[in-house]
Amino acid sequence: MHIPISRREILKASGVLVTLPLLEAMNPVLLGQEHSAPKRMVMICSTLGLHSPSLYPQTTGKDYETTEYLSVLQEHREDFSLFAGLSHPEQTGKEPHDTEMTFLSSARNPGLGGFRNSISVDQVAASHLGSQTRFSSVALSTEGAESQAYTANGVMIPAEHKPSELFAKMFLQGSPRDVRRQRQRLAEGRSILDLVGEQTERLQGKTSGHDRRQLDQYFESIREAEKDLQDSEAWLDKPKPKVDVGIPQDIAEKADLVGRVNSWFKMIPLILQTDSSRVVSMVIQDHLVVPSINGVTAEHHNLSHHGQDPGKIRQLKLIEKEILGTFNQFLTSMAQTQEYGKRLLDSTSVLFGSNLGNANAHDPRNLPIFVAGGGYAHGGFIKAGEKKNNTPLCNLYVNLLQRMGVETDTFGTSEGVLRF
Amino acid sequence: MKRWLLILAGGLFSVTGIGLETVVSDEVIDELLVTTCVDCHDSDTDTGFDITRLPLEMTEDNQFRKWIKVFDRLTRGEMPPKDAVQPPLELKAQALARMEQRLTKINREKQQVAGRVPSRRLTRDEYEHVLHDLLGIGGQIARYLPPENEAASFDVVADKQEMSSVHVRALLSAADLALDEAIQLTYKPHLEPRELDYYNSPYIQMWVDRELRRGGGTVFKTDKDVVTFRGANYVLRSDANGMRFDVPGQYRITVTAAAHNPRSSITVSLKRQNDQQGQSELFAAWDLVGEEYRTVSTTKYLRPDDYIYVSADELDPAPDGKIIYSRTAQPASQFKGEGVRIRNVVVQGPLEKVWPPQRTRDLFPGVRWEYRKPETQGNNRVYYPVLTKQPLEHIRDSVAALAPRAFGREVSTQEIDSYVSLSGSVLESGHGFLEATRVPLRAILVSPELLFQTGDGGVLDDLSLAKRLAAFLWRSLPDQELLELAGQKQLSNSKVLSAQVDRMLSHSKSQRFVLEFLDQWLELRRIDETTPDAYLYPEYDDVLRQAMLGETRGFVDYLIKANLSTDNLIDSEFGFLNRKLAEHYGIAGVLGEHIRKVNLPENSVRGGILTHASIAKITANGTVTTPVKRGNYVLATLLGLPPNPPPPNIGSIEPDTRGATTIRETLAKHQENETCAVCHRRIDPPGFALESFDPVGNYRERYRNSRGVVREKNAGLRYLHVDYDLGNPVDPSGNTENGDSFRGIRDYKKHLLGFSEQVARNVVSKLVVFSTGAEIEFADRVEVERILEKTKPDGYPMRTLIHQVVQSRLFRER
Repeated sequence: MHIPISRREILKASGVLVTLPLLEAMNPVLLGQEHSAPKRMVMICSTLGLHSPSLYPQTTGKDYETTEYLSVLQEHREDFSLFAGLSHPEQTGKEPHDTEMTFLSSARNPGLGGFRNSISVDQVAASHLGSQTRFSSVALSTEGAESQAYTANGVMIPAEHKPSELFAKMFLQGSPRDVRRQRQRLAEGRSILDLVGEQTERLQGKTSGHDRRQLDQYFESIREAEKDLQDSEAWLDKPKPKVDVGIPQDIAEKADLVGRVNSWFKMIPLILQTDSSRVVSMVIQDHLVVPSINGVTAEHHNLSHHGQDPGKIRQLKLIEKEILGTFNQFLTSMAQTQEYGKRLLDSTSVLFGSNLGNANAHDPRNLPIFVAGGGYAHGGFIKAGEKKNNTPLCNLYVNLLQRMGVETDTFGTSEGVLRF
Repeated sequence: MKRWLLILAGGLFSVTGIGLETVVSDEVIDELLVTTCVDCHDSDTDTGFDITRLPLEMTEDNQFRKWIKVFDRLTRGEMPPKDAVQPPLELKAQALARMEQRLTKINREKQQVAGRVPSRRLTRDEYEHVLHDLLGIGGQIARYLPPENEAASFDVVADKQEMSSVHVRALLSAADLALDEAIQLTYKPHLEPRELDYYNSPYIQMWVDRELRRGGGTVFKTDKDVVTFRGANYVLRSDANGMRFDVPGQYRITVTAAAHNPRSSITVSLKRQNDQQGQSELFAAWDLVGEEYRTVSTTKYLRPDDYIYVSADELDPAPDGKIIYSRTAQPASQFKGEGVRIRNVVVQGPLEKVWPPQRTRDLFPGVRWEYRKPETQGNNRVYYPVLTKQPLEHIRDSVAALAPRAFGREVSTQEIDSYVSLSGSVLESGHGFLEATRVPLRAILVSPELLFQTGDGGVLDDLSLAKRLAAFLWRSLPDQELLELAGQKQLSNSKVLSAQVDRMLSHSKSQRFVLEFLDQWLELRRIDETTPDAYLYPEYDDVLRQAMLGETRGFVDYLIKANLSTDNLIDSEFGFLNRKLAEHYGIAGVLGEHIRKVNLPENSVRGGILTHASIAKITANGTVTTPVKRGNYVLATLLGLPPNPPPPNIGSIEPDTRGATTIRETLAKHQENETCAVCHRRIDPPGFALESFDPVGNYRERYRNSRGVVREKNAGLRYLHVDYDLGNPVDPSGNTENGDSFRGIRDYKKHLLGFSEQVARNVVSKLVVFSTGAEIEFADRVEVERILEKTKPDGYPMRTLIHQVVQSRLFRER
C-alpha cells in the first residue's frame, strides 16, 4: 500500500522540533525537588541487526582501531563502550524475528508452544521507581504498537508510535475545561471499576478453580488499573512541564525511516530532562518499504538477508550508517543538555543494540551492543564472551539495573553481573 | 511420506485402544521403555530427556505432556531411530494401546472436573463486533485495544489470552469512544445526496490553471469531465474540494466515469485516507470498458477526519514509458496514456432517517430531543434531552434497555440499581444527565459477564450454547431468535441447533467468521508484512491485493455455502476471480471487477489454495521466495503437521546469493547434514513445487532478475519503472519424503490428494479450536476421528464439518 499524498515537503517546511534549550525553572516538576540528577535508562533496539564486519574492530580495549560504523560515532568515542559476545540463551522461536519480543526480557523460545513472556528489564526499573514521574515508563516505536516492554505477567505494553500524541499527553496542559473533563472521566473510570470489580468477585465465587484464571487476572488487573487511575488523578493536579518546542508532526511516510527515528531521538531528551519519565524503551522497526535514503533501492528487511551479495551489503550499510548517524545526534543532544551542572547523558544509561547478531541468517547470538552514558567509564571495546559461547546479555542488564538503584543480583537468564 | 501416513492413520489417532477389553497392565509400558528407550534416555543421557524419571502415573501436567510426546513419537515411528534396535511389534502395539487408554482416561477425568475450556475473554475483534452490534456504530474499536498475542493457534484460545491493567484501561476508553460515536447530538448533517463537485471546484481549477513549471497541469478538464491520471490523488481529495464528513456513519458514494484513451479495460478506484492514520484504504475498484460512462456506487463507513478521492493509480503510465506530465515538456492534457474521465461524484450520508440518529435515541428510551441554538461558539452540540421524569428514572430506563441485550438475559431490579447508582454522584456534581447516563452504560460494556464466556463445567446450558455459537459464526452476541430458543431450552435440541447453524451461515454476519478464521488459520492477515520491490513486481498494487484476498475468502466461503469437499483446498476445478486477477493468472474471458466462481481451463496450474496469489504472497519473503517458508506452510497450515523447530543453537544456513548458486544448491546443504535432513526432507519438497509462483503469485518458469536500474527516490506514481529481465529457469521438481518424484505443482497436488484425510483432520481441528477456545487435547482426538469417519463417505464436505463440530461433545460441553 502506498501513501498517495506526500506530507514530507510540508513537514520540512514547518521545521519540526528545534533543539531544546530548556530552563530548569520552567519545569515545575523539578522545582524544590532533588538536587542531583535522577538515574535514567534508555533501551534502544534496532531490529534488523548491524552488519558485524563493518562494526567490530580487531583489537579490544581502549586502543581499538576505528571501523566503518564506529567512525560514525567517532565524536562520542569516550562516551560509549562496545560489546561483543553477548546474547540471550535459547532464542529459537516460532518465527525467526520473534526474538524482538525477548530482547529486553530474555524469555526462552519466543512464540513456541507454552511460551509466555517474562518481565522486561525496563519494567523492572519502572516498577522500582513507581509513580515518581508522570509516566513510570515510556515505550516508543517507529512503526506500529509493538513494543519490547512486557509486564510481570508477560503482557506487552503498547508502544507510542505517534510523536504528536505522546507530546500532547506529556507537555500540553489542556484547557481548564479539558482538565476538568479528564478528572471527571478518571473519577468515573474508578467508580466503574469499583462496580465491575465487585461483579468479577461474585463471578469468581461461582466459578471453579481451573476456569478462574482469567477472572482472577481480570480482578487483579482492575485493581491495578484503579491504582493507575488514582496516580493519574494525582498527576492531574501537578502542572505539566512547559517546553519551548512545538508539537512534532507525525511522519506519515513509512519510507522516511530516518525521519521517524529522529523524531523520537529528539523527544527522548525532553522526556528525561522534564523528568516526565526516567525509563524509555524504543524499537526501530522495519517499515516494510524501501527507505528513502540515497542509493537504497530495496527494503530494509530484504537487504538484511543480503546473501553476501556485495551490492546488497553496500545498500544495507547505507541504511545502518544512517541509523547510527541518528544515534550519534541523539548522543550529542544528550551530551549538550545540561542539568544540575552535569550532562544529561551522564545520568542516563543508554543501551543501543539489536535482537539479531546476524540478520542474514536470523542468528540471535553475538548481538551488537553499545552502552553509552550513565556515568560509566567508557571508551573501550569489550569482548564479553566467546563467539561460540556467549555471555548472557542479562549480565549486562543486571549492571544497568543496579545503576538505576534496583537492589538485585539477577535478571532473566543472568549468570552474574557484567562489570566494565 | 505415504507409508508414514498409513502409520499415522492406523495409529496416532486410532481409537482401537479405548474400550477394548484388555488384560494388559502397565507393565507392558515399562517393558517397552526398558527394551527400547532407556539405552539413550536414562540418567546419563545426552538427549536432555530421561525417561526413567517419568512416572507411570502420567497425571501431573508437565509429565502428561511428555507422555503424549513419547506416545506420538513412538506411534509415528520417529523413535526409536531407524538404526537402533526396534521393539517387537506386538509389544509396541500393546504398550501404545495401554498408553492411549491411560492418557485418554486421565485427560477425560480432568476435563470432566474442570471443563475443557477455561473461561475465555472476547478477543479485540469480537469486542469490536459486539460494540457495533449493541450500539449500532461502525468505527474501529479493535485498534484501541492491546494486540492479541500469537502464542496459540487462534486468539480465542483461553489459556494463552492475556489480561492486564493495560487491557482494563484500554477497554474503558474503547467503551467511551464507542459511546461517543453512538451519541450524536451535533447539527443535523445533510441527509440528502450532495455532489462532490470536482468540475466546479476552485481547488481543481487551480491545478488546471497553474503553470507547468510550478507543478500545474497535472489534471485537465473537458467540457464536462475532469480527467485524471496516475498519481494525481492530492488534486482529488474531498476535503480540498469542498466536502467534509461531519459525523461518523455510513455514506453511499456514487461515481460516474469513463476511460480516457483506453487500450483495454481500465480500473478506477475510490480510496479513503486519514492523515492521522497515515495509510490509504481501497474502498472499491471498478472496471471501465471502452469509452462508455459507467455509474457505480459503494457504501462505506467514514469518520469526520477522513477524506476520499477518486484514483487512477492502477493505470499504466504510458505505452511508450513516457511520464504523464513533466514540468518542462507536456501537461497532462497532451498525454496519450490511459486516464479516467470523472463526470460526477455524489455522496449521500450519513445514511440516517432521523436526527439525532436512531442509535442515539435507542440508548435513551423515552427521551425527546430538542434543538437549541448553541450559547458558546465552537460548541457543536445542539440537541438536548427533554426529560419527562426524574433523571435517575430515565437512566434506569437506559440501563434496563442495554443490560439485557448485553448479557442475553433478564436483568434483576437489584442489578439495574447497582448500575444506576453510579450516576448519582455525577448528577450531584452537576455534570448533567448525558454524562451521568454514560457512566452505567460504560460499566455494562466492560462488565465481566459481557467480556468473558464463563459458566459451569459439563454440558453447556442453552444460553451458554447460544453465546458460543454466536461467537463462533458471527464473532459477536446471540440475536433475539437465538436468545428466545435458548430461553425455551430449545437450542440444545440437535435439529434446532442444526437449523440455527444454517440460518447463521446464511446471514451476512457469517462473513466475519470467514474473514477472521482465514486471517488466522491461513495467515491472510500477514499479507502486508512484506512488500515486493516495485520495480521487479510493478503489477502488484492495492487493487490486485484486494482481489487476491477476495479470491481466498470467496473460495472458502463457497466451499462452506455449497458444502464441498475439503479436497478442494488441495486442488479444485474452479477459482474465484475478477478481471484483474484472471489477467494476472493468464486466464482469458473474465470481465468486470466482481469476484466470482470461474471454472479453470484444463491443465491450469491453478486450483486449490496453494496456487492462490494471496498464499504465494504471504509465504514469500518480500521480493524473494524461500522453499523452506513455503514448505513449512504446507506442512503446518494445510496439513496441520508442523515440523519441529530447529534444535537450539543450530542456526540456519546463511543465504549466499553471490555467483551462480541457486536456491536449490543452497538448500542442498540441508540434505548433507543428517540433523537438518531429518526434517528438511519433509519441509523442502513442497517448497520446491511452489517455486513456480513468484512473490505476487504469478506463475513463472524463469526468475526475474534486476537489470540494476537505479531506484529513484520519491519517484512517485507518475512513473512506472520496470526493472527486470528473465533469468535462470525455475526448477519446481523434487522428490517427496518417500522418494516419489514430482515435476511441479500439478504433480505435487496429486501427491497431496493422498493426504485428503489429514487435510480434513486439520480443518476439523482448526474449527474445534476456533469455535471452543481450547487447543485439541489428547482425549479430544477420539471425537475428531469420529467426525472424520462419519463424513468420509461424502468426502468431508465443509458445511457438514461445521455442523458436526457444533454437534460434537467438544462444542456442547464446557
